[in-house]
Amino acid sequence: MQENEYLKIFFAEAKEYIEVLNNGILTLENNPEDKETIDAIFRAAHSLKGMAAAMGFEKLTELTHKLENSLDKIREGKIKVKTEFIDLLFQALDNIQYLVKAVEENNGKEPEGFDLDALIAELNAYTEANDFKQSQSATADTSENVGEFLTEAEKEELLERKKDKEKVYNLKAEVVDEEFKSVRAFMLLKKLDEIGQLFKSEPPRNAIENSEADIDQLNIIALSWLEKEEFKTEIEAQSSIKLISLDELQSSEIKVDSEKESKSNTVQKKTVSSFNSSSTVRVDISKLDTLMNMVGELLINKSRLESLDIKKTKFKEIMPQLDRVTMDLHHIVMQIRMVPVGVMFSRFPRMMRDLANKMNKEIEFVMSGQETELDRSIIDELADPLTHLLRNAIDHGIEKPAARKAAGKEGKGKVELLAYQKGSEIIIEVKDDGAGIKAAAIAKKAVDKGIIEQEEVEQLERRDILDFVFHPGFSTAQEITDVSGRGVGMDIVRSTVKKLDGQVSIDSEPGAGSTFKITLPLTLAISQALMVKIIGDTFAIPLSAVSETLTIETKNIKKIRGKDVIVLRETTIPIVSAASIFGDDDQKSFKNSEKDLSVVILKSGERKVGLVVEELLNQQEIVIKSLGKYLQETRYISGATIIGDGDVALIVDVRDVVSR
Amino acid sequence: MTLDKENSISMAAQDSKSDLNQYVVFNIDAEQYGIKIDKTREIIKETKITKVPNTAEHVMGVINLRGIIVPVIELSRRFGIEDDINEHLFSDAEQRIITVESEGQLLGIQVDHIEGIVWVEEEKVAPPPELEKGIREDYLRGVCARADNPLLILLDLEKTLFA
Repeated sequence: MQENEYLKIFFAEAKEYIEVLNNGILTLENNPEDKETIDAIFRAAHSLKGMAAAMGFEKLTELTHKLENSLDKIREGKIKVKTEFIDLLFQALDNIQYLVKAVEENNGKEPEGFDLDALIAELNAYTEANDFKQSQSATADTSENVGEFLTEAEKEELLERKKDKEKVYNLKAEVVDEEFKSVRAFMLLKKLDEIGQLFKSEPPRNAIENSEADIDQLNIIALSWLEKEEFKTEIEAQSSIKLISLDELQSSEIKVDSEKESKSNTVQKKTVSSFNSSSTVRVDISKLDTLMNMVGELLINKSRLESLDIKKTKFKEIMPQLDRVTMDLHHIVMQIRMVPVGVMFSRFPRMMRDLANKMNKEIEFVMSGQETELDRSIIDELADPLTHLLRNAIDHGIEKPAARKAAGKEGKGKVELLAYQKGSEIIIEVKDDGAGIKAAAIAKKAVDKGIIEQEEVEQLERRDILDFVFHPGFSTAQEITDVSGRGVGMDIVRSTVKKLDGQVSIDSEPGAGSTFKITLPLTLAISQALMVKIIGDTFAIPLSAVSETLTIETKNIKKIRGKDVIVLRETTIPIVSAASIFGDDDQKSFKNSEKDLSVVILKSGERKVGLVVEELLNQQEIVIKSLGKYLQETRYISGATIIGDGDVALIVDVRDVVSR
Repeated sequence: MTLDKENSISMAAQDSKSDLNQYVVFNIDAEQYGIKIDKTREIIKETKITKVPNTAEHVMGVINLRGIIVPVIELSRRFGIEDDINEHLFSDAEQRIITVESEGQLLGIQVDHIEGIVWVEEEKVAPPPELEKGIREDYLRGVCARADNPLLILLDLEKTLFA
């Protein structure tokens, strides 16, 4: 029991540290000199190690210890932060994350047969090799530090000469043959000319060509189109030459020093640990859900009491008080359930980095509005659709660097993830400055796929045409990649968002990029509803989707292209009988009705529809409950609620009705 | 609820045999069906069922079970058994709803009568014969012949509800 409590705390804290590490390593990659970040992640690794050791998780301790050591080397300036090292750190972190998860699923035991040796060996090899090189370079003639090997002017020239996608390598080699050393060295230079271009060598090229120097070691900077592995194989194929080291230099490492200074100062430093809270209490999520349900029950019972119509004065005194207290309670519970979207967003920078690398695209990923709060239940559901939209932004949105440059854009694409509140809604946008989507291409594809007829598509507005991307089975990807483009996805994004009572829309400018906008209600669980009677049963309509209610005479119903409409303040609004869409086909016609009709004008986005109901009842607060997955797909019904008398009332799916 | 004497075995014997399971037995008209007891949650008397439009024929509607919305399924319709109004073996008062948990969802199944709980030795379970009128074969786990009792039809709950 006690043990269990400790474990729970361990998992919760471990996850926080892992997140700090994840964000920190990411920041480090873009900003290798950031002392604050290095310290923050070092501390996180250190704390994680301490916790793991205290709990007796040996493997976790070993791995975190190794991670801590590596980070310490960075801290002491013994290792330069390079992409391959960042990759190694991430790999270690992934394994730590896996281990923590495995322990959690395995009732507090570390998994058997989980082999860390390879990874630890790799980490060791990297830290030692890089460490070793430094001490060796002190004795060697050539200097290890590129910053010293190249003069500022040479660096500038190198950056200028380096073409897009071309790589800069620093290689050190030794001539092993005793005879014809300069010839061997010359052969190497010739090889370099074949696979790229020599930029600088020590000893210099003419010295080698004239066999002037006694050559033992070569220190060379070269440019090449080849990937590191290929480049290495080519060099190693040279007999009599032994490769000592081969490093790929990032542009940032060649950067002129003065620039380097200013760069590290301007980059924002707040990415790490922005969600570390101190004056808070950790609460089990299931307790919150229970609390929410109980408040819901309380509200239901309160409305039952209200409907009793008791005449006693005491009762009339108590009711307003009870009302106020339950409202306050409800308000506070809602607030407790609110979580900043940042807790979900924090997983994306890492994902975007990995995806961009995988697809050879350069992107700048910007997030804003992480502090925007949403109901926890919505946040949990949103991760998948957002992941999908972000992947699409890289895969289909952002072009390859060469194509971008050809189009007159910066080689680095920009993907933005924004969250903000607007009235009682939360808006989340995924924006890219990529190729955009041509409405004509979408229209053609929709026709080809038989989703719509050619004649009909010509009548549509651009907005409606772009909307086809959410149609099931629609995919504009030319080729299928393992990242996205399998023809499913966008329709799932829409259905998930819809399930959350939200909307997703697209806007796109060919050549300039696309924006996907998700609009969500602030909270799902409790909302105001208009109660109506339809074929004898009570139904609830979310008040946020009701624009007005009115009573009309049947003679005011007009027909346009065979559809019933009414004219309301000079706009025509189609009307539909609730009885007909909820099962009773006989009630389709309004003409045989003698009495006036009650109409609820529903709105969803820009569209409006008048729903003819049997009777308008009252307005009340409802606790929204799901019908569960068995009935999830039910047409025109989005959920259920329990009303005053304990009966179930179904909730009308306004969007479904309006778009029918 | 009665414990079926024919198939009941002492607790001691039950411990030594691991392939012994408890089933809740109920009637759909004259036929007796069994579902594993560990799938069931509770048995409730019929409460008010709210119809849900635009659903499959066998979905009777939803009930309010202490604040949880639970869909209720009419098994006889799911099986496609014809409802003969004149030949009901049990009165409506004997109808019950068994709540079951299947694929993470709480569901109610309406049955005509609850017979009881029985122990079934899994090795006595025979593969389902092909003749069961109307019932899809994949809904069945098997049948179990019992002395003096009608054939017990064991249901595969997941397939019955979701397939």
